[in-house]
Amino acid sequence: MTPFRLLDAASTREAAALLRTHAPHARPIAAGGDLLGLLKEGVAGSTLPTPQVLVNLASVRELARIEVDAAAWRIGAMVTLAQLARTDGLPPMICEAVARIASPQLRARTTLGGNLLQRPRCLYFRHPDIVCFKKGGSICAALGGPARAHPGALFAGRCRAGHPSDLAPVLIALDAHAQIVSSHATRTLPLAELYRGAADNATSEVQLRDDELVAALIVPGRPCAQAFEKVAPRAANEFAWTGAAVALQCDGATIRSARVAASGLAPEPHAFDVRHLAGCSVHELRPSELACALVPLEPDDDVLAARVAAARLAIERALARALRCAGALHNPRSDEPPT
Amino acid sequence: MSQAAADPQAPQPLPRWDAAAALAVVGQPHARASALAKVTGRAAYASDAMPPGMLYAALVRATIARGRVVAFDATRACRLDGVHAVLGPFDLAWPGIAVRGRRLRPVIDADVRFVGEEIGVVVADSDAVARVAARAVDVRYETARACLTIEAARNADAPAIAGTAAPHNVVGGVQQIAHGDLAAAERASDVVIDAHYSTAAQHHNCLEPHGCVAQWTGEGLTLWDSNQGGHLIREALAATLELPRERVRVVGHHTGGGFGSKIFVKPYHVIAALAARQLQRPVRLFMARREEFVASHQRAPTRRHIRLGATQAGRLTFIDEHITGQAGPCPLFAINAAGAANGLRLHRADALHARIERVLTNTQSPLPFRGPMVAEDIFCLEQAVDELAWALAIDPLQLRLRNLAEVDALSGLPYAGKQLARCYELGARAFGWRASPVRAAIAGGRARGSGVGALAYDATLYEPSVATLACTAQGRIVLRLGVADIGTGADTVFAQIAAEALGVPLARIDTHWGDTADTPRSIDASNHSRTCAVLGPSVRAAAQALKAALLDAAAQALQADASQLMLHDNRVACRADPARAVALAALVHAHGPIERSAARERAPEGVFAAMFGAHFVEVEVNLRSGHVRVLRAMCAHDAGRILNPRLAASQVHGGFVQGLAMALQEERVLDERSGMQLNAAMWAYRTPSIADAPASIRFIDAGAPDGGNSLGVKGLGEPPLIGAGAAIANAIHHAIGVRLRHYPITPDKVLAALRGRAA
Repeated sequence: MTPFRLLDAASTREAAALLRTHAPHARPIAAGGDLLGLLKEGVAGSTLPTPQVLVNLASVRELARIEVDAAAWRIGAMVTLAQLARTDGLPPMICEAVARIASPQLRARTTLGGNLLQRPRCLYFRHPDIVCFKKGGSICAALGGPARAHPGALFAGRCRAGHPSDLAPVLIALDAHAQIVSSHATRTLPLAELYRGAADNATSEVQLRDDELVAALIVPGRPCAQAFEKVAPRAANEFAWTGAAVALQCDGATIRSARVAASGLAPEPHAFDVRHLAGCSVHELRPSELACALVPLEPDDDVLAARVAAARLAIERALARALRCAGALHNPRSDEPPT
Repeated sequence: MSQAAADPQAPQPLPRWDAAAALAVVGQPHARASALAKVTGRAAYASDAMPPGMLYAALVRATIARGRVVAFDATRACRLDGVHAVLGPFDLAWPGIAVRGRRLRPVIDADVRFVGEEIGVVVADSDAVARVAARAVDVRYETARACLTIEAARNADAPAIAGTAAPHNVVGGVQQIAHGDLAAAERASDVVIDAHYSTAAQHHNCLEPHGCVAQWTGEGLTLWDSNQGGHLIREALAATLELPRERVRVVGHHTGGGFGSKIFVKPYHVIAALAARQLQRPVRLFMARREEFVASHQRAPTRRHIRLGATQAGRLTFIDEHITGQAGPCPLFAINAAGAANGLRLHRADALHARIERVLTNTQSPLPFRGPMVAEDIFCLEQAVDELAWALAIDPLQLRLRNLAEVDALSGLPYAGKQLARCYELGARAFGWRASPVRAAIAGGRARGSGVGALAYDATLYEPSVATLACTAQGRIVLRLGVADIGTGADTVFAQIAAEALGVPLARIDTHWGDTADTPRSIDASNHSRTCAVLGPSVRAAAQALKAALLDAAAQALQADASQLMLHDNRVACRADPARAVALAALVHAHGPIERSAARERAPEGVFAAMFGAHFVEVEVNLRSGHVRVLRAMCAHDAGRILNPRLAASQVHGGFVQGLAMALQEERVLDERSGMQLNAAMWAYRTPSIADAPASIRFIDAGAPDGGNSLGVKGLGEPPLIGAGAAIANAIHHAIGVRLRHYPITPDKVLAALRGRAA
């Protein structure tokens, strides 16, 4: 691993200032679950320079707080996944997703912010001796390679990797906003917006400047019917082929608004267009038909066909559970406990 | 490895421990002797060695699949703080490893035969600096056309990979194994199965990477090394460096996994030794995880065309296999690419035939991997036998029971012991096996099925193997063995044998192993599931000899006849009057050290020794995702006498899961344009997590004391892996009614098969 300087930041603002001072050679480090792996393997390129300075966010106490008021949760970026899992009252699919991420050891150390900002798991991106689009190459190295090597690719742009974060689709479905702090300002934008253009962005999957940090996620507190489902090649310690999150706001049995998002399918956490579900009754929707319609692909390649099957299965299961949950909310005779 | 010729000096076997033998220590589930040291982190591994002044080395590896290094520019690397030396192919006269009087490619060389091959080494103050510097070496290549697959290497216009004349890169000629009249057997067949199978590369991927620490003291070399047997490493390293073997000491007390990959000397041993000599400092050279994948060898991918015939009544008429193994670039290692004999001896058939080709490629050389060449064979052949059963409409278990072999067809010898029928019987009973049609248990998008698969594994690798037992001045018994403990329990079971033969409590015995300086030369390496069967009788013989020596010494002290004495805990006592006794410590004090050694007993003659087993597995297939989950496994084995049922069950658990991994998950992903391995990382090269393992894997001891040696033991290291694959695949077929012939059986293949595409 190339030597670096580790600078402890005392506050979020100071962390951003350190990033600004040492740009473009600095990067923030949370638990290092992803970053250290990249550095140890020597994964680098012209758009992924090896940092000389790491700004340590673990020393910034305010980033590890969870606060709640009548309207929303404010979850600091340095809150660990284990902390999320043991926080009462959070939207339940956050805990469902956390339970399927990595291993208890990694969940004890790694953070919400680190999870949301992790880099692709495409095997071409991760290979130290291969140049790819995300490392400054002109084209995607996975083009022409085996489909097994690039998780994702169902909804690709110039990059064909799938986004690896399971919490990203969950928070997008919950309509979370990211609070972004720079050395001199704070801005807030919908989480989905943060990832806009990830497929064609050669340097990152997010719209962050060199001196900006994701400080917290603002998650609306209003209850909704929700479910997360993950289909992955292994039962643990595994990135999703698809991690699907569904959130439904209903009036009685009628859907007022629906949000469906998934990891693993595209270089950004893929948000599906499900506006047409507004006004539908939760009793009339068919999850399997909906899932097929949302992933209307019939690839010839067997590996990609299996990815489509996994995507449809995850979405269908999440939809089915969320619909059951919504049905139970308005029909107290149902067996399903309301969430 | 050497297979010793008949050795007339070998002692005769001791009286057999047969089924009626009343044994007090052997056969008991004693806890692993090193268990506490391992779980508390006190157990010393090679990577724990830190001699003062130690430097760190990292290898420079080729990034092309075939060609030559034409420039090795270390300017940038040398400029880094803490770099002591950068040595490339042109900087030293690097020797090749000496193998049977020949030399392999120099351990560092300009000639490149696969991506990842060694082309240089960096030595630095720290591991981190060494690795950064290794990446900072600027290498220029002259590339040549590479062949990354069997197909590419067999092409008419393919280049000659080893530079020798091997038509279509088929190295060593075509090997034939034949028994009986194939044409006649084909004519006598009512049903013939004809199918193509394949197996994938499987990487050893040991938790403890390959590596060593080398230190010179004057003219002597000490190597702390993670291996499967230090004496063989010592001998091969001494031969390679042209040193007398007395000047080389190899130390490796615990080994964090070997699986066959740590038997032979590898380039890193030689490079570490030479770098340490060059710099006159101890040098540590361990592989990074990526290097465990790209340049630490693997089980070869194979292709198999299998034909089987039977009469309508279910009598197996013939087995005919055409096998091709991917052999890597080195003719000397090509033999490890494929084999067939153990599959052929598994069932009785009128004619047996195998045609084996090993094709040179620009990928890593294959090395033995737990059940080498046998697992690949039986994973496929036992599926073909299952296909035959379904074609005949005979229950797969019944078909196997109707074709039990009485003699080993290939050698013509009766078996030293064969309890395969008992494996079938006990396994089927424990599992609750009953015949049912395919696709009979489908509900809620999931299909369940059951499968059976059998295995045979020869126990023929014998060699001189010395064990030494001594009584110390403290009255303790020290057992010295020239082996490594690769996790199988060598630290425990030999002490059990010694305690049994001496008649003393297990706790009185200290086992020393893993250091060539204070152990006799036992077997080459712990491999081929033979450590207990080959070394165990030596331990017993040495214990008998030591006991006799102790009784003789005590006879003088007690003024009694030795035949009237007995060993009792820490003393020798008169049988008639146990109060008349002399302490062992006092005997040693009076007589000096009392020590006895024994070599292995004669290999069995006129019989063929082999291990057998049958696995019964239930799986659940998710018809939507294609995911296969193994629900439970009953693993019935004939391993002869079981020395320690707790350690035996542990072998079965680990072996079955490793076989499950090979059957369902493990797969090397290569970029076929560059030859680079894309998934050279733990997270990307999938092996089962605990959550993927079946809830129940049960070991069923279906064996009986074997005739192959006086202890009646066989082996259990490899058979549990060998038996896993076909049982799982056959259960998948039973669940979904489609045959999956290409391992690993990943979800995409299951879904494609369900869609009616080529399976």
